[in-house]
Amino acid sequence: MAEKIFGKDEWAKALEGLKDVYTLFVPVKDGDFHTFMPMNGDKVPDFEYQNTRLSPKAVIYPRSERLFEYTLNAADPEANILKESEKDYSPRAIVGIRPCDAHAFQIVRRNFDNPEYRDPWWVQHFESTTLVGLGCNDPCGTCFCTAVGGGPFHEQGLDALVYDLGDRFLVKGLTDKGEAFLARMGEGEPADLAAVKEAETRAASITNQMTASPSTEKLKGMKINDLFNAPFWDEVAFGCLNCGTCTYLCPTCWCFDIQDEVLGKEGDRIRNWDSCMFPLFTLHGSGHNPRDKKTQRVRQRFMHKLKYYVDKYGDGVQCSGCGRCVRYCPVNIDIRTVCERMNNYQSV
Amino acid sequence: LKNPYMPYPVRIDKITTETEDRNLKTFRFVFLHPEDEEQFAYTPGQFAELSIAGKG
Repeated sequence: MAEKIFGKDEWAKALEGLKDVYTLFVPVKDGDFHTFMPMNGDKVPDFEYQNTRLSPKAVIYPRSERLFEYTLNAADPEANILKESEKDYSPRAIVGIRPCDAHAFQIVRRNFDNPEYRDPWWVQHFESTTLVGLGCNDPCGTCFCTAVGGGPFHEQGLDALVYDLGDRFLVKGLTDKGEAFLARMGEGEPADLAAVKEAETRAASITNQMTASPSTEKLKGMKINDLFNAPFWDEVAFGCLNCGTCTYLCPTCWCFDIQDEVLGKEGDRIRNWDSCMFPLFTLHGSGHNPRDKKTQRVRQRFMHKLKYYVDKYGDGVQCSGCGRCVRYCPVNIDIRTVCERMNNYQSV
Repeated sequence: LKNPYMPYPVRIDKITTETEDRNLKTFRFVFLHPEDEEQFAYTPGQFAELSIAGKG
């Protein structure tokens, strides 16, 4: 597929012209950080960023989503009957998504879209979204995408990839969806060989600077019970506050809870993100809680990502190496260290 | 796309009190739509979730 070159101003203008066709989610400067927001009015994209604090996972999998509606009004013949809420599945695009966050959607997809189960909302949101990635010229110190099957210019899961060449962008269509997005932009010049070469050299040089750590290669061959009963879990969990920050920031965490909310006689059934770090997450109606201790919950998080997922799907860990949990954990629990300990563990 | 979260509406047909002291009861349900009953299949280890609109 042919690459195109855009001047940076030209790129911004071309995006502006796509707003009638797509709802565009772009990184917008938000105080000291960046957040993915719909491009509109003063919400203008700023592509000079390392990564957003929250991944754009909520564009496809909202933090809180109305699933069904109903009335409790007994006079209504439809009382207590749930009706599916209307959804907007018009075309959307996340422009500037980092390759790790696009890779994360592929990891999560195995849970929401597989032969046994298709989540109707996740699948339709995902299918209506085009992912236009921005390669990382300046990966964070906590990034480890290359250790988990990705990379700062990795194309997996993306529909198009943008290379920042300083004064201009080189854009490469990767799928039909991505090509359609670029075709609608209309502008841009076909990239000459020298520009393509420059992008490739830059990508290779930045990728090579990333030291691939932690190691994950032994995880699959290990016994679940050995890792589950390993002596280091109390130590790993010691400082944990069970605040749940890691799970909310994680682009590959997918757990949710479904609740009913009623105002007067009208009710909604809502799905909210949940977290395995909270004791209520596993509390049974009987009062029994299989994970009532902090250590059990911390172990669950790491075992799920680094062992259960690996065993179930056989294609790597449930982590895209974005490093958010490392960066924002208030007590500095580091998944890279935990992964290394698990990978190198030898039971006695 | 089939929606696995769409509940099948049922009517409580009978409540049997099993033990007074533990407040243990058996509820017998009848599907409001017979075609739902045909759809309602499960495999060993699965469990059914019951919900009452507005209560959860």
